[in-house]
Amino acid sequence: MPDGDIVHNRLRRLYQKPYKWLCEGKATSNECARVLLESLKKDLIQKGDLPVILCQGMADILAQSITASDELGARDYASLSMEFDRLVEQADGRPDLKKLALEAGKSILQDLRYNHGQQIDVGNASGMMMQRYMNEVYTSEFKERVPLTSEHYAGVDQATLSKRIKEIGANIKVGISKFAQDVINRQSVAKLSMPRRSSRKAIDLDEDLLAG
Amino acid sequence: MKRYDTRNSDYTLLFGPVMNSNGNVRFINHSIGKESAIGIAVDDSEFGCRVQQEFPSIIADLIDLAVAIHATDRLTFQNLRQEQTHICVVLPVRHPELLNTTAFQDKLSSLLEWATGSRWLFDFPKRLDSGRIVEQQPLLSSADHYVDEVTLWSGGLDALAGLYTRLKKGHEASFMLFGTGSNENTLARQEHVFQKLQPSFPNRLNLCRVPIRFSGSILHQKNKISRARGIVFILLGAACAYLMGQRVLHLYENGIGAINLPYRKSAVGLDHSRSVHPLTLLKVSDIISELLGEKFKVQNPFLFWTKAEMCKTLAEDGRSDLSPLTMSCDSPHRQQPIQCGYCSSCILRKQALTTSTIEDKTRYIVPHGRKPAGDTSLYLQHILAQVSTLKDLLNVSEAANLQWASLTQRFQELDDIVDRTAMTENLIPADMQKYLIRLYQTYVAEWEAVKSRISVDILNQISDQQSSDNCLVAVQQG
Repeated sequence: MPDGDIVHNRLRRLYQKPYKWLCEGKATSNECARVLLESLKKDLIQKGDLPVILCQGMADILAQSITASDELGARDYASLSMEFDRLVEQADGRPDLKKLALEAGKSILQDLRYNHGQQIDVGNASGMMMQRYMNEVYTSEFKERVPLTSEHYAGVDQATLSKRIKEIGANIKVGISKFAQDVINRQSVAKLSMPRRSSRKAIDLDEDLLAG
Repeated sequence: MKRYDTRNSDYTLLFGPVMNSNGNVRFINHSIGKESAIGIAVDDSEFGCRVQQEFPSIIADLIDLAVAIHATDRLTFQNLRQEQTHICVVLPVRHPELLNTTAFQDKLSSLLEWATGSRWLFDFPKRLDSGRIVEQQPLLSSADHYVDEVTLWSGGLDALAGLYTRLKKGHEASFMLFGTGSNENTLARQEHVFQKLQPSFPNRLNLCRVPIRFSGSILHQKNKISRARGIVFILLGAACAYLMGQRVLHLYENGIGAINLPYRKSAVGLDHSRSVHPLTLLKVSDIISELLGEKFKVQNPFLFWTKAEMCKTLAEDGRSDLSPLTMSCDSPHRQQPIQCGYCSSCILRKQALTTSTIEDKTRYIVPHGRKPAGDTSLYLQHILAQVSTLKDLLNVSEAANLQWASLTQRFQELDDIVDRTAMTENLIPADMQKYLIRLYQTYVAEWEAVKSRISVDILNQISDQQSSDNCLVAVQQG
């Protein structure tokens, strides 16, 4: 029952800068995405390695199950989901982080079970779960935590802000993919690095490309 | 020998034997190195009304366990965005050989972690005294006490609407309503609604209440978002059901509220309560069965009903006099009007009464009282965001399997509910999926029909607030 449900309608300080940039509309979409990724990176580092360990654990469980059986049925998915629950329950750590990691793991199960468009590479389940976890953090801390109000900072309306958030989606995805790769390489979120800035710039038609 | 280990605990609660009066708990907050003694008592004298000749000692232990969980949940704190809280509970019981088994302890800790987010560790030493008064009084005659169904009685609208529906459907059935709590107003409300309902159904309703009372705890800050409240209620209700010769405890809660999906992704895990979530009921049933050594079930017959659907029988009988007696509010005020009118529970109440065409005679702070300072539209906005999400997910296709895949892509826990509880609901998974799809479709359709009427009070309140703010600015400028 709804019994003292907690709703979050205020962004944490960490995400105020990208929010304001998006509202102001002065920076480009790339710049807004970058400043948001900087905040996300700090947030992921602060949240620590527990989700990494849990994602790895869930990926191992999934890999073992797939090795043992050619094709998973509904019962297998139900039992895998329970195994994920047990693994996460046994871990000692922040309840919200455990839940975010669990959601990431179960979203992979869900994709496998219902054949959602995206192909799941079970060999890289750990990496995919990390990406999903980071996306969960992005969504819960920013995308779906932006206040539900008709008028935002700098007087921008909800529709405009939503459109700008949608526009940075592709860049956020690339950044998250890079962060997840860093985690796979180092087995830790401690040293995440930002994706390279886009080196493409507008070509000056008068520039002598052969010079020098 | 001391078996419990408090070294890694944030809190330790050392309970004395749970008594009718003068019981106590030593509460140790390790993080600040503070220890205090708090009085705790349970009044289970109404369990004298039962069909069991002897009072089973394992049921007395079940009551003690519920009291200990209640006290612990109210006295300790878990910030869901900080490190997990570790709680050690030491409670003397009559059957340590049953409660200290690994199987029972694992299930109990798992249930409480699921419901509260904290890590609970229990130790159950042997209780040496002779127990509470009711345990020592053998029953002289049990013939008059038989009931067909035992159900939780919270004093809320779902409990009333569910009971009313059951009473009208089962024309002969008799009911034992079980209530508990520490708050005198809540207990009084349970009694009042019962008294008002009884004349309409003579000889079919009984009320049993087992209050839990603190003493010497005024200075002690209480946890306001107690997430184990539902579990305590169910454990005590199960004791009542068992004493009445039943092996099923009922509770009446609409499916939307029972499953309580997050409104937005910003709500993570226990931001939304799991008090009577289907998986909570499954886990509690399992624990009680483990303790009793026989199958016991906690059942919600309204899992596939919306709150408005539950209210339909009340509406058909024109019983708009009953709903104002009930309470839904999450943050009730001390003065009239008591119910806020803008928390999620109040909004769902308004939605259900409006949808089922019951005249809502309840007095709420919004719109009837003095306007509160904060933003009263917060919960409404979140609920409407969820309704919009559900609508989009369900509109993906006309085919049930695709609708289900779409729903569970966003709300994966729905798969867990079906996978784990379909069998106990006596349903095949595909049918249970269809019932849940229908539940959410109905809910979305209900909101579409009454959204403007529900929103008007709250949005008027905001525009009134803005007008008064503008006036204030004008005065200051003037």
